[in-house]
Amino acid sequence: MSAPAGRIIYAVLGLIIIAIILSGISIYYASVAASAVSEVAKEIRTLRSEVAGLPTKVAEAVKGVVPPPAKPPAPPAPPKPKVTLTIEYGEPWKMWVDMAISKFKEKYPEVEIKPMMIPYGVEFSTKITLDLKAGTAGDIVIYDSFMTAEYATAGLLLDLTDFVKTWPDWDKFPEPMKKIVSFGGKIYGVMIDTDVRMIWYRKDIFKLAGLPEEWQPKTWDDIIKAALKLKEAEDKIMKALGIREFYPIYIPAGTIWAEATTMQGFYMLLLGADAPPYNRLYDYKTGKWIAASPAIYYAFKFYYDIYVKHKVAPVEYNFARDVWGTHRKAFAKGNIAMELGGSWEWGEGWGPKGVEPIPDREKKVGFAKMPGRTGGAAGEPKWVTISGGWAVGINAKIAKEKVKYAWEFIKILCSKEVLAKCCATYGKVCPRIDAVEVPEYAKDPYLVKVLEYVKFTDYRDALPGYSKVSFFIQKVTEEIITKSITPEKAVERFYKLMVDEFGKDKVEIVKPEELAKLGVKLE
Amino acid sequence: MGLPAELTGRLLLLPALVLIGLFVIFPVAWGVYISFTDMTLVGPKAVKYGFVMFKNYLRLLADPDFWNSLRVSFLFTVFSALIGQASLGLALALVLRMEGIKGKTAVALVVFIAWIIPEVVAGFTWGSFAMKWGYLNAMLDPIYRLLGMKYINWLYEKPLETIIIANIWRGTAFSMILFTAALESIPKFLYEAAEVDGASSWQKFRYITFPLLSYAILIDFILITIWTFMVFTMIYVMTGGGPGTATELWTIFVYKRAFTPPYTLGYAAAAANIMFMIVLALIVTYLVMIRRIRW
Repeated sequence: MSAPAGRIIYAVLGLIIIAIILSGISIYYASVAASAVSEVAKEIRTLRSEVAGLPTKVAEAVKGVVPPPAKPPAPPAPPKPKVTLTIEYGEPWKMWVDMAISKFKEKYPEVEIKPMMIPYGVEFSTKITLDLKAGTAGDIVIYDSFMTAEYATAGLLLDLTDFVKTWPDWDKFPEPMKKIVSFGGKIYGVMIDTDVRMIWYRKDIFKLAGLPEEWQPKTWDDIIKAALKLKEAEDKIMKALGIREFYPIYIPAGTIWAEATTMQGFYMLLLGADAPPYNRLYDYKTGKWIAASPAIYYAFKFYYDIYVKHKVAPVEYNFARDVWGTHRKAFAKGNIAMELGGSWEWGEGWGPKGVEPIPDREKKVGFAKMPGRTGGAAGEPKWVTISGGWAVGINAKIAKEKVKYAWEFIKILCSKEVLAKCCATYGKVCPRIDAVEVPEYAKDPYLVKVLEYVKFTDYRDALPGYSKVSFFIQKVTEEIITKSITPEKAVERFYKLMVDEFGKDKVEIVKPEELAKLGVKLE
Repeated sequence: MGLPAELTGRLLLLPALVLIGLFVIFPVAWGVYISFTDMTLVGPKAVKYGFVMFKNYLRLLADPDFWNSLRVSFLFTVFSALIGQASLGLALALVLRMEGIKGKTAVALVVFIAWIIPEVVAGFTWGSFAMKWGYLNAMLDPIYRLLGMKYINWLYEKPLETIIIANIWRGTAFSMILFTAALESIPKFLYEAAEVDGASSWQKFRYITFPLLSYAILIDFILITIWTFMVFTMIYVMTGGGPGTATELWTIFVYKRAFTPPYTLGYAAAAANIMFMIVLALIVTYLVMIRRIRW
């Protein structure tokens, strides 16, 4: 028994060693071959120019006449230092990139830019993460800014601190916009758009249900009351719009929405559920994640109330393959009367150039500020919104000679004109404060109105490990809506996931007595 | 003289062994290695990871999602491959062998097309076919109206059933081809002799076709078990493992843990290794059964 087993072990070990040696050798030769290929290419080029000259020489020889005073041979065009820059971005930022490319080409004709666009329907952030990690991402990447810390600590993004220092425009970005793209005192990107979040609602449907067309809830209860009133008028609304299903309210939940569940849904509730600093996921004083708090309880409770208790929200929309497309279509058709969503929807979602244009948008679509749980009565913020957005950065694996051009490209992409014009076209909030100097931006009443939200906006706790915390939130909201677990159980579940992941000493419980009163049993 | 010949033989094997080592054994060894670490895809632990010994494996065994993914994969394989594809494939092969049936080539072609179109295309096709406002419900619309029912969201209300049917649709061609070939090898005179003896068609199937096919059936089971356990693309495109974890095959479980938040590569590798052992055990069982049949 032992002899064959021993032989197999030796064989496997031998093979592994051979494999490692061979891969080393092949990597070495691949790199040598790469340079050899470029050498050969050079030789071929010189040969070609010589060959190109041959016919005339032959002709002259055949003629047998004394060649006329030789023209100075046309100097073989010096092979231009052709640099190729690749830029990877999602389809929503096509305009930004296209505009920057055309401007960049005028200035640097010797550089070729290859766009690598990720089309709609693909999880942009997942694709970019995998590409960065696999080393196949573009030299320049447009990435979701909340990943800054995770990418930076994994060594995937180039440190841009020295570049931005010498860039006068950097001061046009307000402090929060600088903070989003920095980690550990270093800067890893430049914001190209930002956003705020609000309640979107259909004025025409509200009118059908007897609700005011200019609507601004003051507490969470106001929202639920409106949802229940819409539910009562369900048949009337479906008949009037010619639709076969109707849900009063929609808040992203679950893991398919991924980060959007946390941002559009959970944080919008959490930030308004308790007074700061108890309304966060991270305690900046102790440096610990908050694994349980009354604020987390109330946020989960809101999910529970609309999805389970009152059944006024569409569980199944959260599990569509293309949740974004589904929510936009549903809102445009009138299947949803109100939803928590981002400021980009005005243009990207329902604008004339959007994914699901709504005719008569100004008349049909309204938006309202998200209130705190009791409208500020318990010390929480009166109004709540949160900002994220996408940033441009440089892939850490970029070839050294390209870095200069990549930074020049970013400077053009993030210039006042490009950012303001593109943001204005798509109704997005511009991360530069001087955007209002650009007429296209200033004349848009929507953008001017939304600027009011920027005054009270907040940011997520995007420290390393955040993507895990965010994932746990998504998981727990999913369990609330699919398994109908109570808010108390939801907090207990979230706490357990956090403790399992980070360890009991790295997480904390905020206001344990109050939690106990709410019926949450931890341990 | 024996030694040089043996040596030549080994030398000739070397290139193949090197390739296998490079592309099979090395990744497997690497997978085992990272399953003992807390490596992540991004974040600080992507660069500075540490050894956690068996922590990943212990956590897996306590993870209800992992057990769920095993259950889903098991049901998916049994119902879509072993029951669905194999029996439908056998039925089709028998029909194709019958004489005097018109249009059987067309049927074979349709079955075949399902098998050769790319998985992503198949996934999107089924996704839009079975979605709430898709063709399936559009075709069923008269029935819904007749019964006064609301549209069924197949991918949401019957997700596991839907992916099982989709996978039967996709994979039947292989079993059909395999059984067609196996049926060809059964000599016709056996049937003729049986007819002379007065055997019914069921008896012919039971006592001639089935025993002589059993070897092919086992081969078919081995191959489709492996393939169906490895199915990822079509189901990921269709449901993404959802709703919740209702269609989260173990492949999707591994993918989600590794390449989407929380990006835990080590944990995902541990799950992949456990599945590797399970599939290996299944295959060994099949192989033992084959031996029994032959001797």
